[in-house]
Amino acid sequence: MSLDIEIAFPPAKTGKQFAQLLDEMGAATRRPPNFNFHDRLTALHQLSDTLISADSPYRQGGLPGVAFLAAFLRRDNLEKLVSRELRSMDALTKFTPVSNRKSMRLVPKGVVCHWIAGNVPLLGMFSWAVSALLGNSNLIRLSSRQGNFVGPLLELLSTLSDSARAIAEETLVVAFDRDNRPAHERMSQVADVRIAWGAQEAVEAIRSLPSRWECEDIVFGPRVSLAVVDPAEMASASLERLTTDIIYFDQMACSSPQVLYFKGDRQQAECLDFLATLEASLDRQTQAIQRHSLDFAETYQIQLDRTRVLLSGGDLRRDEATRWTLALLDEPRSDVVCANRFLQVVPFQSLDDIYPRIPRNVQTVILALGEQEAAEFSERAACRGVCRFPRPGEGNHFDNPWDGVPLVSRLTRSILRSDVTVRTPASHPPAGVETKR
Amino acid sequence: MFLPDVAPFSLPPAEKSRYLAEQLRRLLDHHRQHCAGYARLVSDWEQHRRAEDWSVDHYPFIPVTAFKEYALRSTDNEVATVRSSATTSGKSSNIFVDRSTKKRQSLSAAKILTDFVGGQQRPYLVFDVEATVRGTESLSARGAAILSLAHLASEFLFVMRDADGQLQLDLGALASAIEKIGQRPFLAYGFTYLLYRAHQDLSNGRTPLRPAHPESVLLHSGGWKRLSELAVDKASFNRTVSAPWGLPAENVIDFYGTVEQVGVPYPDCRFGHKHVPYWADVVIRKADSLAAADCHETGLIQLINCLPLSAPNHSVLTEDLGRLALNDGCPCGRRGKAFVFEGRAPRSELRGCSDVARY
Repeated sequence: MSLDIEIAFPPAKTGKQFAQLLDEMGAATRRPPNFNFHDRLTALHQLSDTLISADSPYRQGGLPGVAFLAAFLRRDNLEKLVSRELRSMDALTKFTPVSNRKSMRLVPKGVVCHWIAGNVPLLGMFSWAVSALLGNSNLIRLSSRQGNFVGPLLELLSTLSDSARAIAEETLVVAFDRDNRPAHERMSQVADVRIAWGAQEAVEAIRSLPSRWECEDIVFGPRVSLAVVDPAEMASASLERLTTDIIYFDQMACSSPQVLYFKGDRQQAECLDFLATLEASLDRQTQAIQRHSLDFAETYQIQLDRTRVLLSGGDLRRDEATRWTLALLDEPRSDVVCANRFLQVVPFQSLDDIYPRIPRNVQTVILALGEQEAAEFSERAACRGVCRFPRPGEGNHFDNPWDGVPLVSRLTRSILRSDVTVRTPASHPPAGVETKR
Repeated sequence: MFLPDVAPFSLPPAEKSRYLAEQLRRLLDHHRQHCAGYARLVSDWEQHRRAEDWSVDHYPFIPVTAFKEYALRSTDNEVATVRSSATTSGKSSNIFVDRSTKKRQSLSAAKILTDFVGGQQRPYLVFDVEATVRGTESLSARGAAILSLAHLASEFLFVMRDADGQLQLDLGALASAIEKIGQRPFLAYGFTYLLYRAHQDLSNGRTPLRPAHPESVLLHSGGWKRLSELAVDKASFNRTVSAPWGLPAENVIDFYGTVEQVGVPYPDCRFGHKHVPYWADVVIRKADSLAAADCHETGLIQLINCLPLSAPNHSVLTEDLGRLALNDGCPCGRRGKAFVFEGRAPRSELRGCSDVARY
């Protein structure tokens, strides 16, 4: 039966049936990978170099956020985010002693299926990169609203080295309609791990698909993010970076701040200076960094939300059209949507004012507080659901863990072996201490 | 407010602009003084306005949704409220209307509709139930639309009945109404979907009607959403409604209107255009920037009129799409802008993995 699926990558496989490709992919994951973790690190680093090279077509802004992807794929970055979870990275390439009689090995989970979010397509490439780095085969389903932006990236990857080509060949990119349930089901049934990016309706639909009992789900679902700053702790460069966090991805990423809490009073001279600087920064950056073209409903929403703010006693700082909006309020309003460069700005006197206002679907809180306040706030806010506390400028940096999920352990199987020879304590690394390669 | 001896669609555009600039400036001052919420909106608008530019392209507007969420009123006088019908949000607009505003609305509707169907009073066949227009404190959008034609009615003849919450054609009431009308021309009105449903029942042939007087006119307004779901287009709608009466399809007239702008109906002329009287205006606003769109460019419809004194609903941004067909010179002879209504703006696509805050 035809499932009406377009094979977007690799082009050589477009003549094959989807089912046949899935079978081949499943079989390939039962064999040892052709290239090890270190080869893969090198391949992804090469892709990063190519993306940011002077003659890269991606440098001209053809794909929003490609600079974030290039930074993410740097060897140092990938090593850091993997090693953060592991006592020894050696376990990714061989059995590695973990006690005097036990060794451990991490192997790829198998086939990892990624359902990419419609409006922030690049986010799915981060989960693909971690999964590919760890040796998994990857099946990526493009949203029906996207062009095939992944195919050209993989084409580029396949030209860089043998290991890079292997990663590209282990990746299958497909496109099919969102209502094509048989295709979604077929994809789901082959998955050892399902990664769902997107809004509530999308991730719930993916989770409802039938899957094998041992399949693991990683859901990067709908979340909101905040920023908490003390103007006294913010240099102007730091504020510029915070502005980038706010406007990049047009607030469609779960890591995009929607509400900014600032320490002080709206009438204090220091705070007025801070707001004026933020306003100028927003005005400058929203002209420099293009927004997607708003549809009618999005445009109407901005006008409606501005009206709501004013009618409920708040103040506005905004441009003449719809490019950016700062809504100054005493309390955050949940009916104000905060999309497309619309930020609610709420003063606080004490950190205690903020805790009850942290929504339960929170993800990120960007912090620019003094050391003691940052420590106090992060300790308490973590218990209220916050998953990460980056500094200004790091808000949209994909990281590990993400959404509270440690990715390396979720994308690998941990194998334990009892060794023949009993080692002396000095010959294996003590628990909890990272071993450098 | 109305100019003596000036027909609604007769002012040349330049004269109309001068007239409106003065009226709208006064209206803005009036509402700013009497409605604190509106004063806040105007204050924000003034910070960004071009100096002393009173053209409609730069006039402030309120999104219609705000009337569902805030009680905006500019009078302490006794008011009635006009409510919109249920929408997907489940909330309805509440527009406050005092006596003087109501009088202006009635006069406005009379002038506009007289221009389209003539001023002669005639029997008024209403495809609705009488309860829809009852009540002095609150009126639905359907009720307001029915009453906007009241000045043309020599008598009201309601021809539907409520059967367990569903409106159905009352064949007995219809037969009696037809008997009363005799050979005289009549005026009929129904909400678009109700009028269609009623005439579907009539077109099955089991209830033959005698041919209506050729000057009879059937008017309708309201959304096409349910009919679009049934794949009913305007041509087949007009045929279904006109055929049982033996009338040509052009005797069926669609008019566009909103509860936020009661008193200014926009009927189609015979060239399919909606015309704007001199005391009102329409601006089509572009997606993304909300700047005024050029002719033929689809955008959000901003409706402006000089009637409301009891609430600041004189300039509203709707969620409807339309396009300007002409700035002037429609072959029907009406002066000024002519526009086409294109339906409700579609909802936005999903927002990536970002969400709204849930507490």
